[in-house]
Amino acid sequence: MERRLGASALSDPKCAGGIELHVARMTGLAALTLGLLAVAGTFDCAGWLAQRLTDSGRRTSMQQVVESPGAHDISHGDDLLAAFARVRNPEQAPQALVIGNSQQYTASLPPNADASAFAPASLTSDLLAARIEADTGRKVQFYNAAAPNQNLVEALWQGIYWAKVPTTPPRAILVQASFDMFRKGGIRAGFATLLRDPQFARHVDIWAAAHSERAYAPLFASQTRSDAGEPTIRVGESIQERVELAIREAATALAVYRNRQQLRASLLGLLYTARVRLLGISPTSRRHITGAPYAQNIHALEDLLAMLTESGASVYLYNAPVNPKVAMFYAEEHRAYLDAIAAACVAPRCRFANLEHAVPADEWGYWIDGPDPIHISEAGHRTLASALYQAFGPHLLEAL
Amino acid sequence: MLFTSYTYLVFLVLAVLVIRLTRGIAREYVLLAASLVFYAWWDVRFLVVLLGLGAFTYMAGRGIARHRGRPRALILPIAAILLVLGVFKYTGLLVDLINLMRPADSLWSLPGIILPLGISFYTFECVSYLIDVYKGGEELQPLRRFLLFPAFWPHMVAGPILRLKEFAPQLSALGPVTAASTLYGVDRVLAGLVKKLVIANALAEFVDRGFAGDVSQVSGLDSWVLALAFGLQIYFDFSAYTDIAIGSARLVGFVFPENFNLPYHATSPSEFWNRWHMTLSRWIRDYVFFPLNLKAGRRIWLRHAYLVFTMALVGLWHGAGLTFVLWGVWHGVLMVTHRLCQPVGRRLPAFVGSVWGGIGFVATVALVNAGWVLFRATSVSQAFELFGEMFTLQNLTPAYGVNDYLTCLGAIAAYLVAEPLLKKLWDRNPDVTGISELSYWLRPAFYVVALTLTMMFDTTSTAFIYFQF
Repeated sequence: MERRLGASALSDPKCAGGIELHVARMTGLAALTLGLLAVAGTFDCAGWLAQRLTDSGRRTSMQQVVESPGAHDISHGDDLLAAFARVRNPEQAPQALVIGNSQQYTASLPPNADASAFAPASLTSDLLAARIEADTGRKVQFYNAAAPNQNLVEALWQGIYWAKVPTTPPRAILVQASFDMFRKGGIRAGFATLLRDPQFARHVDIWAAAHSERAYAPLFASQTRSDAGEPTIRVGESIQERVELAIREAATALAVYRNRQQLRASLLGLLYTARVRLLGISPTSRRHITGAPYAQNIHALEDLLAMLTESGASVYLYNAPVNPKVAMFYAEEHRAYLDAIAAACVAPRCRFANLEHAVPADEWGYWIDGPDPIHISEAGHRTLASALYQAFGPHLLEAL
Repeated sequence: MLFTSYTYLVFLVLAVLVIRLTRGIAREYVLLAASLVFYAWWDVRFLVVLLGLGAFTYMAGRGIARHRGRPRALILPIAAILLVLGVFKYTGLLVDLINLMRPADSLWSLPGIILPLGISFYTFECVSYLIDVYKGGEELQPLRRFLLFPAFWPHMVAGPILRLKEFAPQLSALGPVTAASTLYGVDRVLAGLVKKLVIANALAEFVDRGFAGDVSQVSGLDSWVLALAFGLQIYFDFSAYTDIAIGSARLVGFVFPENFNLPYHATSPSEFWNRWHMTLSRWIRDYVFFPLNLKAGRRIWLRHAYLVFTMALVGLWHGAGLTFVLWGVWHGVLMVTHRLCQPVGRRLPAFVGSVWGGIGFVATVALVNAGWVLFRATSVSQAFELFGEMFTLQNLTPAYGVNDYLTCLGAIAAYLVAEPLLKKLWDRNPDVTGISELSYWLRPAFYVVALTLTMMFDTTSTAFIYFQF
């Protein structure tokens, strides 16, 4: 039997052989492993644990929402190329576009509510379209291009697509700004999929070259230099890719492989819940917006608004509603943030509305340890749509 | 073929099965064929470079063995091998340097040169083979056996860098592979996959973002966090690769030397290099530094200069760029400084000495991680911008998301707890195949957890809605 397994074992001749394989025991071990692996994917252990960790059994509930590929990015930022391809033809092209974060495509329910008892909720973008139709009789095609935690650099990224690629670009564009967005950075892989559209890739290259002094420029450069837009598995372009794909196809026979996305989401959810419950760092904890992420987002916002306006669209920026029950900001940074986003609208002459207090406290969700800072209920969507209509309605109608 | 691809796992299982079914010369041919398939999977065209360089080294080795004592017989083939490395790896750097001296309207453009995978490791092993033969080591014959030495797939791409005396006896004594070797190999492959896909990739997401952004806005505190995050990322990334390499080799009956030994436990820069990329350290020490040191004789200042020069070469070997050279120089200067301070430490009383040791540990961790900024920065100016913040500490406001800091803390915990534990387990001497052993029954659970994590994290497409808050 081997004695030492480290580098010092180099001189041990037994390590290179000498003992016969214990076939039966090894087979038993392999069988046990495969057996356990077969059942591993059928029980969501992390999800179960996360549930146990939530506050006195109060569970976050989300209502189903009305979404369609023609009016919403149903990938929620995971694959913009595929999502936008569905609305690229002039006859499907949206007239109005909404760019924002998860507030735009989720609807919260009260804690422990049974989601199946509720009909799917309508979202702000659809409610706004319905309001315009009700008031004017005109049917306006909105497209909701919201993604979770979307930052303004990503908003600029997709903004370049909307302004430069479709033959019929949107005529009105609503951009959501949120304090929380300004702490985020980077461009996710799902957004980078757009690079596989040669037209978009060319425009992004031109944009990156012309804006190399802006704070977000390195983020653009890192995407355009790399093949970050390539999906993890590419379909059948070479023998190597075909083999990898075939093996992954075969792996779907295992429940754990089939359910790996869900299992991963549950594990990340468990880690997040543990952070909230054990470390006391919750989504409502006060946070700074400063440094590089803030500078990148401010520059991206300024350039986004200028570019969209120059493309001929009417652009509307609003500061997103915040749950009145939470205080996430440092007052001085919050003031500076509000001043900065309002100032960003001046030069390109786009309209700005501060809707921070537009949604009352009872139209917000509940999240793990208390009030949800980002997500609103179906009633909240109605309120927000109404506030947007009030703030921008006449100008929107004119633009459309 | 990437170690983290599913193709590699299938390749490994098939290769292990076929290798175990063969004996003697047939096994050597199978090992060589598997290695060539592994390499060709990346780009079949570069097999020509690989085999050509291998055949040349083999012939040169025979020539050296016939003419031992004639330095020219050694120097010419080494120069030729290094020329191949230079053409592929350093032409771009050379053109950049020439362009610095040329007018802006007549810059040289460079045809796209693809760096053959693992060429740096491959050439180092060829060079060390020739030197060892020159010094009296036995040639590795016939050609198939020699080609296996640098081309053996588990270590071909990123080491560990083997020496002839480590490889040749094992190749000669190849016999049946033990059950303990099999389990050890599987353990290390799986541990490597988890380290790479779960820990290193999580850190990479933060580090890539940090270095891609405008670093002039990064606070002093965040600069240190970013440097530390990269220090952890590169450790988990590279040591994961080494785990998979060592595990794969063990599955077919070869024992590879270790490459890492808890490097951030080092209390001095010299100790760090005895724990970090150990096979490169000893290669450089034996083939570059010791000969230079001998040449310096009693001239201390020249020894120090050679040390800095050697480390600059280490930097240049890692990458063709000024940042890598500066990273090497940084370590050279740290080691020289440590040597100069050593006499002071030795004269201190015992209790002060232990405090001195603690200071050494903190300083080493801090300065080694600061050095990683040079390694990772996209330019020298970016590195110096970060250094400016790190060493003046004017701004301590944290600006990254809380999850970025927690990811770093998680990685530190993994380094401090899991790594020593795994090392201890692997260094133990249990009868790992005995059904009376607890480890026999615990192993399937460990394997299932590792495989599940590997499957869960082998893609980047899942973004949990609240994860970034």
